[in-house]
Amino acid sequence: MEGRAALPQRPGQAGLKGLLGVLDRISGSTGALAAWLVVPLIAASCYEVFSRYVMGAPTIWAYEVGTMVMGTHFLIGLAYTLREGEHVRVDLFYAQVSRKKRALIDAFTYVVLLLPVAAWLSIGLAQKVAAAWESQERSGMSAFNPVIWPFRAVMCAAFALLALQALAQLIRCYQILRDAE
Amino acid sequence: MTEYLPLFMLAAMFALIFVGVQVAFALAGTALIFGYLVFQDAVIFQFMDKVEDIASNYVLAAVPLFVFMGTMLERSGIAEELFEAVHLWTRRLPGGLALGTVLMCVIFAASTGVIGATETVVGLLAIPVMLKYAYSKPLICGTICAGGSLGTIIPPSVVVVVLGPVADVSVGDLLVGMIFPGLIMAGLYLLYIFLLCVLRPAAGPRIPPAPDEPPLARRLLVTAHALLPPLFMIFAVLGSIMLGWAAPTEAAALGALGAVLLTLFYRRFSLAMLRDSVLKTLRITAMIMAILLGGTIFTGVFFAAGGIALTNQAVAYFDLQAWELLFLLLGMAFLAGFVLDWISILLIFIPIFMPLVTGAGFNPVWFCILFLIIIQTSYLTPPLAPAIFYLRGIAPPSITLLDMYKGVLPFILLQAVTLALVMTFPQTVLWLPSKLLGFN
Repeated sequence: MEGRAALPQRPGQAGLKGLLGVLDRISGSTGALAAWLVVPLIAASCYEVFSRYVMGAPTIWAYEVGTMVMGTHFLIGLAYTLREGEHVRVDLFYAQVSRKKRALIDAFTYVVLLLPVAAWLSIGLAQKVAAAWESQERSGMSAFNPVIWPFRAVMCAAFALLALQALAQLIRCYQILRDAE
Repeated sequence: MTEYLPLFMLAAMFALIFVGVQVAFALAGTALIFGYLVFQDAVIFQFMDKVEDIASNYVLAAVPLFVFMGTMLERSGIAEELFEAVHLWTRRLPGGLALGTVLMCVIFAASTGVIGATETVVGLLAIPVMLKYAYSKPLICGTICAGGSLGTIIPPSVVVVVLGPVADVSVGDLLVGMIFPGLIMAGLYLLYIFLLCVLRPAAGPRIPPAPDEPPLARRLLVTAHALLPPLFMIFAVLGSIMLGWAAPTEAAALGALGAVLLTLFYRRFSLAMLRDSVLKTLRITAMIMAILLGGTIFTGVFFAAGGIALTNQAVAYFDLQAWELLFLLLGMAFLAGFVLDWISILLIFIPIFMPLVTGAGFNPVWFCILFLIIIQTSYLTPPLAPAIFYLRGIAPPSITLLDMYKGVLPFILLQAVTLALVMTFPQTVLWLPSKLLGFN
């Protein structure tokens, strides 16, 4: 890193680094927030058991609230987990090749596989959010029956975040390939 | 050509995985490309449906809860307590330290739903002691790897929470059905270690009586202090499911609450530790759920593009008997275990296997348990054995990779014996759920 700093920077390089930092921070802070959702998830589910057996009356909200909390937790966490490099891979081959080849494999993954999936899902879900908002559609899963657009909006946001983090990872690949030259 | 598209899709997915693409993205990406070829823009609607299905499946909320329970227990200090208590009773037996380690793994596995964490914690405690008493290195490695991976087959287990919805089988039935097979496997481990050390005392020498051997009352007190809290947790989780008081997710929430209380009880609780635990929980959960999403999306497209017809054709072409089919399916899963991790094996194979299994007239719960036992082997079979990977992270340099490979081999054979027993006697799986949950 230090050695590199002495080299003349190409234009746009600092901007790219800044963008990378911003993208990383977005995934980091949304992930850190989502991570705490296990606490309300535990609380809601335990309260439901308590309410059913001790108070003799099940709640109408615990089931659906629990479901939405669980969905939000892992969906928002997808981008953070990508940043932390914790999505599993079989590294039988991957671990043997050079850093540059690994960057090429990753770049292929993000451009051809992940970015299209994440971006398209988030655009498609955005349209569904709009439709659910228009019609004030409700879940129909339990007596609680909440409007469905907020949870849909979370799904949409989660895949947008994932696409942004994929972009950040792509910048990393670019930096590795550039430095290798 | 389009009728063979599902085959190309499978091939492309495996090729990407072996090159080193993240499993979840390999699955979702190939599904998008091939799905687009067949259905054009309509493919995204199928994707969105699957996302909504998985994000609104209450059973899956047990995944983060069990993972959280595991990460809290790992830091609770309970492992140290259990280690001391169990060894008070077993250390004078032939191979006693190894026996105690397996016993401790069983208790640990029954109070948490994840592996890996268990193995590291147990290994760090047990390896130095066993080395000190000149236990054979392969035995040490085998004990730690096999014991540490019992978390899958001893309920509760995160694997089962994912397996249930994917195979369309009740998670409660699976959790209760795996109790006996899990105990059989652990029992075989114990028996093997004991017999080995009786026949070859050098493998696990007896420890001479210490001059400061604590009196019985003291031993009982230490044991109670270490054993009662985990037993209470095991009851909270398994008991509430077996008695029909709580759904698996609710039981998992009770267990998670229990784990937090336990860290308070042993005075290990702190906000920093809770923060570490929730972040780790999120990373593991998101990793599992990403593969679940990718796998569901993949099989959705695979089947819609004609994959079912193709697998049925293949089965009809080879004209397999029901048992031959069973062996073929389990054999494929076993081979996959050499390179793939449990979640990938489960998501790639179970959706394709289950229609064939039920079509051949096998009980789906029983098949799922056989599948779980096979998955168990994937932890131990090189080159990609998570159990050995974790062990390498904690073992001193005097233990070589060859020791590890030699050590896990007998335990893989014991897993095969368990598989044979459960295959021959389906009652080992089916009796308990039928008694407790009234299913047939």
